[in-house]
This record gives sequence, C-alpha cells and structure tokens, in this order.
Amino acid sequence: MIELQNVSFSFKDEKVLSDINIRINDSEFIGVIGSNGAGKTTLIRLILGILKPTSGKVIRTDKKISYVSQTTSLNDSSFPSSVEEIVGLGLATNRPFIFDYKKNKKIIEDTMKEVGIYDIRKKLVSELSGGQLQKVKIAKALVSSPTIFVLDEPDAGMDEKSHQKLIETINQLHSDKKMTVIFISHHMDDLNNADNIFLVENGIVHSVKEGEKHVSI
Amino acid sequence: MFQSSIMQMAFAVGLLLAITIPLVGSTAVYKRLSMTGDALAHSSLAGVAIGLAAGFNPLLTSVLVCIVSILIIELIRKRFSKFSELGVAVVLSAGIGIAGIMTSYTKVGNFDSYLFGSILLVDKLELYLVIGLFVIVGLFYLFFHKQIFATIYNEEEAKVQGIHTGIINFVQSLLLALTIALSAKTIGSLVVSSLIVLPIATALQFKKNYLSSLIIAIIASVLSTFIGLTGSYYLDYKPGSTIVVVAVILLLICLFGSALVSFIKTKNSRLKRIGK
Repeated sequence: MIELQNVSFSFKDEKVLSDINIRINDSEFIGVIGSNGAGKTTLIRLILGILKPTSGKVIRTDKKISYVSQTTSLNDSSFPSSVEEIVGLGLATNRPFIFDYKKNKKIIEDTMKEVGIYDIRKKLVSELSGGQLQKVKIAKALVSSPTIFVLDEPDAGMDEKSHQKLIETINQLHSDKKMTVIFISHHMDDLNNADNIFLVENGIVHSVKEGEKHVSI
Repeated sequence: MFQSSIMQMAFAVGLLLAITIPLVGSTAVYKRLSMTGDALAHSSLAGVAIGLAAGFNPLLTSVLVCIVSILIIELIRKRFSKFSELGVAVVLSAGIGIAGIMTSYTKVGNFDSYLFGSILLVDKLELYLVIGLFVIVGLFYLFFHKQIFATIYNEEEAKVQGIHTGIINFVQSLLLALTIALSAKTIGSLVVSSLIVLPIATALQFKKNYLSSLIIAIIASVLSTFIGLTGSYYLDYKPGSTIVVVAVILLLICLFGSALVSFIKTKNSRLKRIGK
C-alpha cells in the first residue's frame, strides 16, 4: 500500500505539488496523466522516495519497488553493454554480487525468456531498436520480482507498433503477477485497464474514477 | 634491464597502475567526465609543487591536494547540477595556477620530473602505496562491480533499487584522486589523464560488452605501459610521454582495424544480397 498524506512539494520557493492525498492499494493498476511540466514525474519521485516532501507524509508499506525511468539516458546509445548485463543490473543491491552469481544467472535468464529478449541477450544495447530497448529496461526492472512497478513514460520516442506491444506487455504483467503498477502516460488509451487514474493539473492531483476516464489533457 | 632494482621497481609500479587506471578511469569516461582526470592531474601538480616548496614528501601533499580537489568538484557538481563541468574547470585552473606560483620556490629539475614521470624517482614508499591502492581498487571493483555499473548506467534507477549511489560515487572519486596522485612519479601528472581515456577508447573499438571492454582496456593499458617503459629505458625518453605515445599508436591501430572490419562486413553483406 502507498499513501500520500497532505503531501506538498516546493522547488526553490515555487510550489510544484500541493496538499496531495492519495492512496494506492496492493495490486492496483494506476495511471498518471497530465500535461508536460504539470508535476507527474515529481509525484512519482515522491512515491519512489527520490524526493522528500516539503510537508506531509509518504507511507510505503512495501519496499520491493522497481522503476523504469524516461528514455533519456545518453548511455543507451553508446554504452558498451550487452542485454544480459543490463538485465542483471536489476539484481544489484548493496550486497557484493559475486556471492549470488549462480543463483542470479538463472533468474536473469528466466526473466529474459519471460519478456521475450532471450534470443538477443548477447547483443549490445546500442544495436537494439526502440522497442527492444524498452523490453530490456522492463526486464531489468522485473528481474528483482518487485511488488510495485513504476513506469515513467516508457513509450517516449517509440513507433506505434512498439508502443502497442509495450502496453500489451505491461497489461499482461499486471494481470499475471498481480503487482501494483503505476504508469505515467500521455495516452488515455494506454490506461484502459487502470483501476484509477490520477490527473496532475496545476500542482493538484485529481482522482479520475471509472466512467470519467476520458478527460481532455 | 630487469637486473636493475630501480627498473624492477619502476615496472612493478607502472604495471600495477596500468591495471588500476582503466578501472577507476572507465567510470569517469562513461559518465562523460573525462576531464575530471585532467583537473585532478593539474591538482596533483599543485600538490607536488607545494610539497617540494615546503619540504614535505611531494607524493603525500599531492595525494592530499587531489582528495581536496575531488571533494570540491563533487561539491560544485551538486551545487550547480546543470553545470556539472564547472567544478572540473575551476579545479583545473586553480591547480595549474597554484602549481605555477609554487614552482617559483622549487628547483626546476625536481618539478620537471613530475610533469612527464621519471623512473629514477620511484622509491619503496611509492611501491607500497601503489600496492595498497591496487589491492583496494581491485577488491572494490571485484565485489561491487554491479553496483558501480548500475550507478553509471542509471543513477536514479539504482537509487530506487536501494543501492547507496552516494557512497559508490564518493569511493570511486576518492580512488580516482588517489590513483592520479600516485601516478605522478612513474607516468607523470601531465600525461596520466591520457592513460585514463586512451585504453577505454581503444576498448570501445572492439564493440564488446561492459566486462569485456574493461578487460580489453586493462590489456591495452598494460601493453602501453610495458612497451612505453621499455622504450623509455633504451631510448632515454621520458617514461610518461613514451607510454602515452604507445597508447595513441595502439588506439590508431584499433581504429583502423575496426574501420576495416566494418568495411569488409558491409561489402560481404552487399555481395550476398547481389548473389541472392
């Protein structure tokens, strides 16, 4: 369960989000929408614990959380790393990795098979298409078997076909694994399976209930 | 050549540093902070000059100044996150400025040997310090290579995973500062930053994964140092300069080889298509 109680966040005296009260139950699929600069990513970063609220409280009862950030990393195009190496990064904790090598190898292989990237495991990430790269990022996030899965516009810069496949994968993962999914998207159509949608607008978060999903943004 | 204890010491220190430098340097290169090495190298010069002028062991003052410099770089990077390279420029300028002023109080010959390295200057203290550094860097990268890799790849995602990215970054910066400071005598302050970048650039030509690239970079670095030190002994050249020239030649050979392989591959695939 994730709960934000009277959460406000300011950056350099400018209020980004004010008095947010939301609750996300276990296994819910939550969509987050809003125009550019509305504060969607700030809301997510507060939930993830990357940012600390200026006032209010963020309660997260589950610690097993994975995050797929926006596709803006320079490293994807030039970093010398293979698909299996990147997926394996999702298992890195503060414990020296060398002790769990064999166990981890099996988990990494199973996750790659599940997401459908096992055949390209030896390829360098710089050689992948946008859709394949997103699958790798999702596998990296899933390899640690999280109970909360947060995606920040993972479809940015993807073509329509890859985008559709990505949405199918996310919906499938949610229904199969019963994990809590928080998905920031620009497309309302991506959130058809969402239990709730949060609209971030002028620093305020509205909950858009069933039947009221088709709001204009 | 190897009968001389001075050469044995020089080779031991040189080869240990050749393995250590790409390990700590790769992080800076992948983070697009290659110039950090340059800034620290100039700081190490300032440290050497302060040590020589004040009558302290220049190696120790160099280590101290390098650690202070990396802390300043990190502080400025955090304070002005949108201008992360600002700290590098400030430290680089301050380093060369202070080094220039302090040389007025030192003997020219002494200081000059730290610019491009000098085999004759390597002593037992340096050997012990370099062995200590090699062991620490080796253990750190052996046990925490995944955490280091995850932090380089995407620091925010690594933080959410629970990795102490702040500690990883701090230890890496500290080890980089120590490595550069300790390289002053063998490789030389002015050329050590080249040895951070060149082996990595050579490794990138092979288009391999992270681990293989790191191993290739270490091999390139060891090869450059071995050939460079041998060449400098027989030709009486400055060791640092010779090592860097060898590293550049190695890079050029690999660049040419990589271009040739791409050309042949393209040609073969075109021929196959025509054949079909």
